Amino acid sequence: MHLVRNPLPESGDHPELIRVVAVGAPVGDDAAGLVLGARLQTDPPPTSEVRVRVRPGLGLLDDFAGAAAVLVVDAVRSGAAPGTLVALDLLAAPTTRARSKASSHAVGVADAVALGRALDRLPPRLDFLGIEVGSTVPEQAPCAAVREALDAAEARVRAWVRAVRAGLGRSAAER
Amino acid sequence: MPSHERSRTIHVEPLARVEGEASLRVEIRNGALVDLKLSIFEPPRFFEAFLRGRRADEAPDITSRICGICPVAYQMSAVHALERAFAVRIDPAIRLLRRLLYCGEWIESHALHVHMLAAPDFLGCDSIVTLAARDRAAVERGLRLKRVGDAILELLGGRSVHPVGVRIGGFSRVPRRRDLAPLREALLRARADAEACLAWVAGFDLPQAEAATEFVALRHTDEYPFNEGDLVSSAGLAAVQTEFEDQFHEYQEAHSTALFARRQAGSTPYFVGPLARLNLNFDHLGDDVAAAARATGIAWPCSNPFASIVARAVEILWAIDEALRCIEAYEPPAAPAAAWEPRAASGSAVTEAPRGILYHRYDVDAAGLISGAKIVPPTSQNQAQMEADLRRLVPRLLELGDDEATRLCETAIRNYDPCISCATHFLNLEIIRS
Repeated sequence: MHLVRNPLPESGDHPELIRVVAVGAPVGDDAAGLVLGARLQTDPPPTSEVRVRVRPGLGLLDDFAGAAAVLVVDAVRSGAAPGTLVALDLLAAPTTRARSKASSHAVGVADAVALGRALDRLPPRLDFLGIEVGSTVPEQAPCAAVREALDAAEARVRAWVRAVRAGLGRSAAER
Repeated sequence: MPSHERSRTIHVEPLARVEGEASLRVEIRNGALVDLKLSIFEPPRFFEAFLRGRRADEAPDITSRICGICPVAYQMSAVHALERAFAVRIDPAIRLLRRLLYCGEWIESHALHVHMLAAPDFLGCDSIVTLAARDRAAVERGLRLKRVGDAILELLGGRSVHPVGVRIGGFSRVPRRRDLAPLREALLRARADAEACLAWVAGFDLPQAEAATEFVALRHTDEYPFNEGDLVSSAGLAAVQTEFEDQFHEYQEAHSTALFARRQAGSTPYFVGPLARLNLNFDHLGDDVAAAARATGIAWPCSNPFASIVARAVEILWAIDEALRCIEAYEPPAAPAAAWEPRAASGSAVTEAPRGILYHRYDVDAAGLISGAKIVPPTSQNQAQMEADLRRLVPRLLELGDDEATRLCETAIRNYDPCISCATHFLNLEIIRS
């Protein structure tokens, strides 16, 4: 069953909107973000919006739009132990070109951020939480180490939302 | 010409801005081509083996995962092949919805390819990011066009990547007529973007590389082809879809994990995709789109593979008009899908994926389980033609520096918008246990 929704994004900025975007592919540990996103959608952090995106590619630019702060959650491969969590401030990260291998199929978060930067379409705050993968075997569920990391990842997401909300509250009070 | 320029080795690994993993090696010695290999080294995807033992109704969702850019194509070829096997007749409204769905995939796939992969080649940019810095309006326009295509997939398939809901006989659910109203408005706004996109690519300085080429596509009696029609070619081929394996054969080259394909008669390469479709179906574009295609200054039919980017832009415009026609004509069917019963049977079908004809064949046993599957994607079919194009470029490569020569080779391959992940799914597996 799928729900027929208005597929076109709402226009306009929401200065108080906090959004969590969980991305991934249904391929082994690459689904870690999707699994976490599904959890968060059933019990979203208060005052936040949660989206789950399968291979969004440049569609992430739509998910950056209109929010005061966005947290992207995805699987990563950096060589660390499976299940390791990594946090990044994507706005502070060095400006990178789209990868030389950028292709219509392999567009990732980095490519979307690079293009978003070039088009001035990044939100005021853009952070990243990565979950280190073990393998990306098709048709397999995430490995044990990744599954065990999901609780910690969920806690990090909720803490991020609280911290960002508190910061937005302080900023509003100062205005 | 200096001797060092008459012996060159161009080795590009991996190829930029094509989907998947591939490399190209061109070796020229004393002005003569010694070796040319387009190597696909994407690990085989085993989908033809995955399907064995699965229920027939699982084929659309399983095969849609072959590719995240053209999943609808796999779903369409799968359901049409199985409907042929089981003698399922679909409601005209379902036929219309399927054409609308395919419009969405063509729009999003072509828009993404034109702006992200191909246009940078013709504008001296190394990526869409560089292009955005140079022509932000064009990139924004491309993203708007892609979003419209995605919106069609989301409405009819629940999501734009690996849409769900396509099934044998129809869909799991169908929209009400009023559900299509927002889509109609978005498509009307997108039409101006599509016209601007076509005018933009028509102004690119395209390398000239006309050559005798056999173009192959579907051709329908009344309409620009998606899911129906006969197999035709610029060399006189006229065959029904079920004769696909009589007309084309797949084979493996040692340097590639993706199969190649050639015409059975003459064992020659052939060209599928938007340029082939446009060449063979120009009279079905409709007056407005045909006029826009002529206004590009290209004399159709055109055998220059570098004109493929223009053909894609023409098809974006056509698909927007076709989507609007489908929405205007749509009335919900009595049921979202026709009833069907599995039986021991075989069925095959060809549909027009964004990159060209896509063939599926399924053998089903009496329990309704798939006992055999054959999937021939367009990129496999184009591999031999890609190599033929590259061979013809050799004299030109000798005139260029290494960077320019590399870029020209990459552009020549990107003319085909190769979807390499689609092209590597075969496996003949034999297990011997003793």
